[in-house]
Amino acid sequence: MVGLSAQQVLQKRMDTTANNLANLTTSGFKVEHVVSRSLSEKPAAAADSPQDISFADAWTLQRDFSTGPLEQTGNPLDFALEGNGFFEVQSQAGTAYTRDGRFGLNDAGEVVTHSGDPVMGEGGPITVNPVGGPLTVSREGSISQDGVSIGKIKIVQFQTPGALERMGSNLWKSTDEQPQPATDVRIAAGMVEGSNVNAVLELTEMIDISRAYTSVAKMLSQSDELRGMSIEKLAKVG
Amino acid sequence: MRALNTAATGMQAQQLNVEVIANNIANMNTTGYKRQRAEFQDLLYQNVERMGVTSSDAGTIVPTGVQVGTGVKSGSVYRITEQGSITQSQNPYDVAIQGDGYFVVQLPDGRDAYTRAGNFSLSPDGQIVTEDGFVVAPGISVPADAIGVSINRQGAVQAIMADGSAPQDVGALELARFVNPAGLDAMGDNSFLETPASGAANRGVPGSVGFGTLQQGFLETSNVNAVTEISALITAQRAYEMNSKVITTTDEMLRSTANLR
Repeated sequence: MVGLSAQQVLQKRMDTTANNLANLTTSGFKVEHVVSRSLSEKPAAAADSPQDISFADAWTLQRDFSTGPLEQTGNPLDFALEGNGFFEVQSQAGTAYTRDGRFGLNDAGEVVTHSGDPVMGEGGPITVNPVGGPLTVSREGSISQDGVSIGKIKIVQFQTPGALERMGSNLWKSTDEQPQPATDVRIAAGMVEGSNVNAVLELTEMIDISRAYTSVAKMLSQSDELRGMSIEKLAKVG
Repeated sequence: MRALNTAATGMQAQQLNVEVIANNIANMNTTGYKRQRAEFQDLLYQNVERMGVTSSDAGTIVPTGVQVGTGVKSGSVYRITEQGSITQSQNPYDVAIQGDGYFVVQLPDGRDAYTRAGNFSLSPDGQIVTEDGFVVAPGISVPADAIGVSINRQGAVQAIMADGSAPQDVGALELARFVNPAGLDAMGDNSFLETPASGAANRGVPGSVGFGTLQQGFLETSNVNAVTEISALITAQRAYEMNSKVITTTDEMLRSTANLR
């Protein structure tokens, strides 16, 4: 049973590592790892045994919110956040937060994500004059067109970003913490934040998991063998 | 195990990435070509243990929980409409756009197409047409006895006459702008069609507010940067390999389970 619990945790770790590697080129992706702990329980079969048995349990996720590498794109509506903040997006499933700043305009001139969800400014969605001139974006996120300010991109911050829930599509949802206006976060326009997955670390993690898994499997088959042998011996005695 | 499927989505994504990069490299010398970029998003997450649930009677909550991701999906292939560099071509009917805007081309079926490729020529009946023989809007005819044309930065076309008389005004090229040029539908042949995503075409005189200016005798090259594309190709290939490694490793783990008995 202990071996089985270990293998289940290892499978979860493997799934998470596979997800990290699959998102090696996903903008704004944040790497995460399963942290396991030992659970001391009395198994049902050995309730009267004097000693507790320690099981392995997938306990929590450790998320790394460090900034990924910034890459120049040449698209004026690509934004990267320098510092610990999030863009606010009005998705179909409600307010969501993202680090993926690849935005564009829709046919009405609103600033939207490439999924079409409006990006929030400090006073609601930002609308660009479709017949006006090119846009300029300041380091603080103010967008102006033809020298006139048309809005400021809203950037928010969480005290414990680890508690955010992932929704997929590079979006995050707040669980119980209300976001605060970000301080000390700057916007780099024409840049995109890459994924912060470190391929080398993930590969070594994968080797680690696979070795641990096979050795647990080995342990399981050895204890099975041992049991078989003792049954055989006992049969002979009888 | 989920890891097998997750890695498969990763490999599919990198395959799309390589296809987009290959198309960019293939069009490195295509006039007016705009490079594309494959964009990825993480897939849905499975909540194994929800964050924020109460973990004790004292009211402490689980800070992060356990969410296991299921891979990656392709979000969109985005066209980056950055200006390409302008090269001299000496051909009087080559026109480059410096700035925002598209030439309007009248397709034989009556629709309008939009293009940045200004490598025009004259049709047998003296009209300014594209390489495929489609009329460039609004339809400019150059008199048969003209020895050349001059196109100014605002698009006005003048015919230079053989008899040395004053140049004749024969029309003006116009440009179209879109609020979201990345939403245009690429139809091949360097041309695009209007879509609901791009918004309606807004036509105007080159050089007016927001519109680019024209340069006669020049062409806009593609905005593909060979170095960036090759390094992106290397990244994509390595990412593909790593995802296939995940599959092999998962397979090994499953085999050790299968060999238990």
